[in-house]
Amino acid sequence: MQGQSSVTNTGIHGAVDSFYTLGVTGWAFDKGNLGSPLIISAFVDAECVGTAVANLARPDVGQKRGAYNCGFEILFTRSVFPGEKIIVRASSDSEFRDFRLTLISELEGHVEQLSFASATGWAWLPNSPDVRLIVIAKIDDEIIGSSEASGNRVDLVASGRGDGCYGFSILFDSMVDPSRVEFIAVGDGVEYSLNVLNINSDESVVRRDLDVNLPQISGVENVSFGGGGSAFSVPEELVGAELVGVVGVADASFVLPSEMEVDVADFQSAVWPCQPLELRLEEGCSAALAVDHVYFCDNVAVVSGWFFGSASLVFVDPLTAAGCAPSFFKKFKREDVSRGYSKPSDLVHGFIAMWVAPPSDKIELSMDGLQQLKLSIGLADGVAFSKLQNSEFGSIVAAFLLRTGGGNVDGLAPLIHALPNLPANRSGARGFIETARGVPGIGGLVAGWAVGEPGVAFYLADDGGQSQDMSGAARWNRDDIIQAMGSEFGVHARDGGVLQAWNHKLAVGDLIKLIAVVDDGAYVVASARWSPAPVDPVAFAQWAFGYPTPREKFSQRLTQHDGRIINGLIERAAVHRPKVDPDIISFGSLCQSPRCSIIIPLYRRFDFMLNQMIEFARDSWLKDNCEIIYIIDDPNLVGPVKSIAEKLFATHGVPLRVVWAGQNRGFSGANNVGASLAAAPYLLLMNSDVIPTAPGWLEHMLAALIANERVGVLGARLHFPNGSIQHDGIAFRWTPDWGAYLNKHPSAGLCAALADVNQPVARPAVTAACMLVSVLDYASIGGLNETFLIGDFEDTDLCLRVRTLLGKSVACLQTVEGLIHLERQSFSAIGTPSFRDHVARFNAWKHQMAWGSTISSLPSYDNFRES
Amino acid sequence: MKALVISHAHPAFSIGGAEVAAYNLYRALPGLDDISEAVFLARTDLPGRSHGSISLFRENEYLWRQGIGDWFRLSTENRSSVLEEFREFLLLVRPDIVFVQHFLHLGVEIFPEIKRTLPKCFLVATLHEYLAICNRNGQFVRNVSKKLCYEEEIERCSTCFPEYSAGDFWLRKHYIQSQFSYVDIFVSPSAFLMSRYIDWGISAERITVIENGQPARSSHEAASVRAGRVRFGYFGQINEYKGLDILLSAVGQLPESVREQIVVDVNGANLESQGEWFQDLIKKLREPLIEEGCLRWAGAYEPHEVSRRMRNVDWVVVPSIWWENSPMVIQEAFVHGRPVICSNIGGMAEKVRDGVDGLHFEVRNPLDLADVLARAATEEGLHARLSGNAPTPIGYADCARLHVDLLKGGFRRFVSE
Repeated sequence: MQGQSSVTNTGIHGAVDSFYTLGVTGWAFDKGNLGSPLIISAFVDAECVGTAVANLARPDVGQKRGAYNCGFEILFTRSVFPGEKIIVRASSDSEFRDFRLTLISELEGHVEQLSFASATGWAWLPNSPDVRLIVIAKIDDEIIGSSEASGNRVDLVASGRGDGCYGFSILFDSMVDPSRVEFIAVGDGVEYSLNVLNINSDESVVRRDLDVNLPQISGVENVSFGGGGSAFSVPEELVGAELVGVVGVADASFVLPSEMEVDVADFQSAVWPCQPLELRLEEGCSAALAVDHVYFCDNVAVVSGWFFGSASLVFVDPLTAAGCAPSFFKKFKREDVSRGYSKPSDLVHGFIAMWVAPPSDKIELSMDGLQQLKLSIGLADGVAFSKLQNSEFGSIVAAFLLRTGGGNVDGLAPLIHALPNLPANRSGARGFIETARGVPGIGGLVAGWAVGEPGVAFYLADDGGQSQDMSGAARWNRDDIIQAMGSEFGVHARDGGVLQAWNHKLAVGDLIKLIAVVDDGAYVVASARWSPAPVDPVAFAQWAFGYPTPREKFSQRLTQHDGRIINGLIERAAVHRPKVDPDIISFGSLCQSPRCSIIIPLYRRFDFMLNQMIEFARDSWLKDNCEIIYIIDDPNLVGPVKSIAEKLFATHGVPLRVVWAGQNRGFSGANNVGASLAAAPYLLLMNSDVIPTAPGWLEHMLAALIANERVGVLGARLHFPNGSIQHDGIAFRWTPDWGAYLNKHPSAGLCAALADVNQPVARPAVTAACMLVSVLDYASIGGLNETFLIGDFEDTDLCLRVRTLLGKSVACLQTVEGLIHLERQSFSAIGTPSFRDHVARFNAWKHQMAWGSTISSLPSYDNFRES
Repeated sequence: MKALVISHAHPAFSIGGAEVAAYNLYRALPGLDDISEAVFLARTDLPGRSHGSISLFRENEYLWRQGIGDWFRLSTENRSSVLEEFREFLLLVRPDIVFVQHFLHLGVEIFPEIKRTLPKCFLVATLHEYLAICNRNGQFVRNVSKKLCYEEEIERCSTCFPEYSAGDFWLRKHYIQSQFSYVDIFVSPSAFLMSRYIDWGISAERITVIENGQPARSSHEAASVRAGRVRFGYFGQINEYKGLDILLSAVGQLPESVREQIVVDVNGANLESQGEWFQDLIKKLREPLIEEGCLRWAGAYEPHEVSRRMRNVDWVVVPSIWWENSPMVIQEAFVHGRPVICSNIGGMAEKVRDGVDGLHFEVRNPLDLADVLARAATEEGLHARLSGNAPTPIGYADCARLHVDLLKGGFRRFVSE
């Protein structure tokens, strides 16, 4: 119980000495008419709860002010409950003066241990030490146990709390979920709620040090201008450049500094929690400093309070005396305090300060230029961020954590969970989540739209406290958003479409929130629940690439968003691929000890076999020295290829093997399966759309590779049907639009000049459409890379690995004649042109990530001819 | 020597020019001194014969139930049948010389099969239209515009059939040419068609021209213009490529005074199976002419009725809007001593000498045809002069003789040993 003294500046002077649930005492007199005692009445709202005459002897007042019989004591007609506002009115015949009071709680204590079966703790009323409280445990208003708080606690005696007999222990009726239990302490005709120190869901019992002495009662206002626990209910007003009106109920307007009781204290220091520190001079309170709340989680500390007497605060690490400026500091108005101290509102500052990784676990506050008041805070004494859930600070702290990336998920989780929606009448940001699809363990993509005024930042976050800054979101312009939002946001409605990767844990069905940080507050703009995304990487890409982000920023988008997810899905698919023994059918007696194995994957089309087998049959060296392995890479082709292979063998008499590896594996996978079955020491990787038109080509290539030991990969000059060059080696060309080196075929489409040197010519890379490599080399670098999407760049990737891992060169044999390459005949069967373009860009991006720096050291496209 | 003639159809079931020519060749071969026996194998789609089977139809004549599986590559429908039934048949018959009169409905795979099974036999293949060159039913006409095509080129072909890439057309050509490489000598009924195939890739040494044989000409069949109206005759199929609409338009544009002097007999079949738009067009064009009395719709005819109908006309008109090869109707007209008015392109322009044994008009141009018709109807002595110059087509026996002589005529050197 606490009252504040007061005098009027008119005729009526007075003060309240004490104020409790059953009554109020004080003094009051009319300076102009000392002989006529005043009538004192107490009101709760309009209800009069007691009346008295101020005529009791008060020598203390008489000595100072000359009014000796001015004391009063009112016994209320009913109990006044904590939180209720009382007006004590002192009336003369001609005027009256009101003292506005709010009853604060006297209760101190808390639940220290809480398990599924029991709870223990302590509780007492410091102002009524003889009262023994009854502590009741409830779940949803159903009582599950109770106990009198009268157990002897030595520690409470030692800490100066009465006779120490305030401990309690409650056994619950049944096993319960500890997080749902609420505690009420009843005594002196009043119900108080009792807080639980902490609950850790991972443990059934949590212990905390007894000397942690925190404000325990929520929902009970302290009349001392907000010092101690205040419950706020006006978060909406807190945002904006100037915060105003923080406290709505602790009204102390009867205090007038000019006639304050003077109690000069030059230097005051205190350890929080404590009452406000005040610097009082003759003319009243000239400076004060208070801390209302301290929150601490992981490495983030939040301190809020108020001060006046200076324009700014100084934060010091008390151990080193070094300054420790907060990472975030904001001042706002505290009308309650300014009213209480009768200070102009612009001289009274509420504040909130936050630190990420504070340098010390203690921080000392003082006012700039006014070092008499020092308040020391042990940050670890702060309460958990969960206490911010219903506070207007929750939005500010959440905004701070989102912006700085400070704290951990435990800190952010309760804030995100309780984050308010952006009020419909508030401008600044709008947005919507149209799709949130993800694969648990891999990641997700969120798509929709978000527009904000300059300075507004968007984030994704979930109730687990995970968050994602959206400043790097892939954006594109949407006419529908411009139409809908243009009148509100003007040019800022452009590029409203957003695509953002979620690289954190997710579970299908969980909420994902689109949050806007407007000024210093965080608000939920939209939310959605995760739905499952395709786990097949191609299907995922088909969906994701449908979002029309700008082409020129596609590689950036992949880096920041879906690239990592698709890579994850590709790896996942490789891991989950069932092990299937290849189905191999041999036609004819295969060559006993072949010199070269020709590996030809078949995808979508197999009619090329008709042409290839005609030519293989015409090449007697090939028939005698090579084995032909067709790898079916398309389940739709299994039956037709087996059928035609039989006829082709019957027609041409050239033995061949047809292999079906159980599923589509892509170009690389199919080649690797074929390579694993090869019986020869050399592999010729051959596209099905490469058709020889003259015998002798492979014999020539093999001889050249064997004769040049330093050559690891040998390609061949390939021709378009009209005889012009299709491939004469690959060079890499930097393509700004793609942000990547692309594979180029120099001289492609031009007339083939007669090759003057019958030797392999060094090239940066060669195509796998017709590529000769030894089985040993192929195996030692792990074969073709299977992690490209559908297929592309595998050949240059292989060439670059042969260069870097084996230190061998790559070359092209230009004197090979008659090889026709009908480029991309099978790839053209895949998807829409736009999807093909995106797949190519994805693979280019991936290739660039892996090989960009290596390629930049190779001969450039422009001096390809000299390479 | 034993000869085998292979045809895409048997005239007992189908009476197209190519199968008739094939059958005539088969019938004429045994009359030659050096041919001891001839066997005829014709493709059929008779449902009563099991698919792929080769079985006797009548003495020395066999039917093969076969089809095309891939019209793009002209590839056989039943490969197993080529490798099994056809191979067995070849080994049984063991011909010394094989005449493939048409590979249509059989597939180009028969050529390597014949040569692999009987490496020593002499393989002759007759080309009847531009099927191997042009995917548009071998017509050498642009697909959408229906304009005449002058050049085979894979990228150009792909614009006619966008569903096939230029690469696909390269594969098609590569495949067909690979199969053609087993043929010793190609026979073309016209020099025009031969030149097109030479352009396409068949070397000039491996192809020659032999006209289809015709029955012997009887002297009384040649007739001079009779009194009354001048009669023009149209013979054959009616479809949009045969140009009957051009002829009817031309007649419609003649001066009435000229129309009063002529009559056109349309001896044609299958109008009813054409597209509706084409039927409507023909009906619209013919109605006023029929009412006027200058057009007689004679309808379809059987082969044995040709002579009679030919004798009823003075001129034969061949107004085709495509190249043609060697239209049988031209040969038949000459057999009957009738001069021919024809489009000035392809096989028609080659077979009919303008101003000698017939008259040319600008293809697809009814105005020009009207002028030519007017001239034919009115110019004194023209008919007599041109009909007098009508050549005597080669007979069946001579035709067969030329075919067999290919073996001696220097072509033997191309036979792969």
